[in-house]
Amino acid sequence: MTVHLRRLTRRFPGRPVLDGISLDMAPGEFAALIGKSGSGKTTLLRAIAGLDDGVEGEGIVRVPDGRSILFQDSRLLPWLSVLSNVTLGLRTPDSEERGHAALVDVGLSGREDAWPNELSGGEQQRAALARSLVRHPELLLADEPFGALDALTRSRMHELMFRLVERYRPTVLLITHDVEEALVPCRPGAGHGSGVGSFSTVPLPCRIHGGSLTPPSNGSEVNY
Amino acid sequence: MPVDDVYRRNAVNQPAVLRAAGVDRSDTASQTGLSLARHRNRRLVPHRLPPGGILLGPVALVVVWQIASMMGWLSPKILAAPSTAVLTGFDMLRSGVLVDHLLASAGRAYLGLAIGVASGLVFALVAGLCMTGEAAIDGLVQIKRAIPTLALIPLGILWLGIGDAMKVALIATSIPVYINTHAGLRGIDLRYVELARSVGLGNLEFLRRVVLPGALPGFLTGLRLAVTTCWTALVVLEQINTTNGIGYLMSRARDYGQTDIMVVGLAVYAILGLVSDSAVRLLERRALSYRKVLGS
Repeated sequence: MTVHLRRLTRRFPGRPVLDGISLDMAPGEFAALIGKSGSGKTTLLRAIAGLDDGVEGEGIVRVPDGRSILFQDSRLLPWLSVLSNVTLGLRTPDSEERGHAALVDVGLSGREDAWPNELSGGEQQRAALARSLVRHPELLLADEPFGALDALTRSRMHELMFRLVERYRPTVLLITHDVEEALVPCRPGAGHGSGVGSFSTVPLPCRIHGGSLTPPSNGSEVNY
Repeated sequence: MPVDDVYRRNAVNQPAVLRAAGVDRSDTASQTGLSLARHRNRRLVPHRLPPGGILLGPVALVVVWQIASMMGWLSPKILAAPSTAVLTGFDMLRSGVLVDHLLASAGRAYLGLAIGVASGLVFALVAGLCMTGEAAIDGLVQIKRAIPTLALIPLGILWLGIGDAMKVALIATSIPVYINTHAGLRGIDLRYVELARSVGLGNLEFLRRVVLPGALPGFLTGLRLAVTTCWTALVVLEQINTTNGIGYLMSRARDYGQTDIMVVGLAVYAILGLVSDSAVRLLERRALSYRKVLGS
């Protein structure tokens, strides 16, 4: 299993957000997690990413070290060129070439030396996608990565992302509040059945109590 | 009929009372549409200053001052005319006196500046990145900031003597780089820190790729203040046990009532200030060229 969560709980002061979440994801699996704002999607993703120290909670989280996060904002460092942003933290001798190749993949070749500020919103998010994939992650965590883009750009980004996911083959957990976005990988031609382990679109299997992600009333583990 | 014409007619046809009260009877709908359009076209930010535009104010001041001197409103005993000062300055330049004094002062000022900038930067990084560092440094720097540099002269003389070591040390302590750099560093977006963690940056790489560039705008603001501050303490410091320096030159001129030399000294400070400020601003524009901001 690439992702192995057991009885994960996370509490913000006086308010449980995640309560007994369990999740298994096989290598190469693509899962989309849908839930409305405030239901704990991002809290779950941050717990998986290991970015939530300081938040109260227990549970078992077993995830690979090779993981990338695709944030909702492109989060490019404004003072680094596009190429330096893509290769940020990459410690291989061929990091430059890999950065160039990743930028070609996302259709940004020739923009290596541009400042992030000079890119459009969609281009910035493509650079962020290149930054995520250039390190060949075992696990790609995407937190509403295209939520801030317009509908046309978004649908192009979907195509691009699924094409690249097929190539790089990470396990993907996509978080979204957009039901259609979650269903994109299930469309014909979007990679379904073409070698990627499996696609499972996971509408929030838990009921929402006061905006919190909690397990169903039977109280047993929830297996996605 | 042109729209403007209609408005003018309406305005003319209005009863005087309404016009005085600012009430406009003309077609409200089209009037609103027009004023909205005008509003949209108005620039909210000023145009970029043409090169050398910053000199307009100083040049105007010198012109007024010269006229006042020529008309006899300003006695040379109170203040020498700019033209007199220029002639005096030219003589001093030709004889080499001015350059000698300037070099002596510059040596003290820039050595103090270098020490002050380096230590301010290091202190800001340590205080900004490490809890113990902040506990140890930040409070002390704030206390030091509240104490005027000149008030430290007596202690400085006791500890370091009346030589250049004391002068350089006091200039170094007056350099305001710490507070701006520290503020810039503390202002770095936490999302960038999160990104640094998620791509696995090490401490040194985090410092080089995120912290230093993030604190750079604040540091450069501090540096702009510092390049002029380093000269301010000199005037007083160079009255102590020196026979050279712009400060010495000016205090001797005071003893002899030579207002032209005083003006030369002031002009030297002013020119140095403008030149070093422009240099830092040029550096700023180069180093921060990634930004899309009002001043770029």
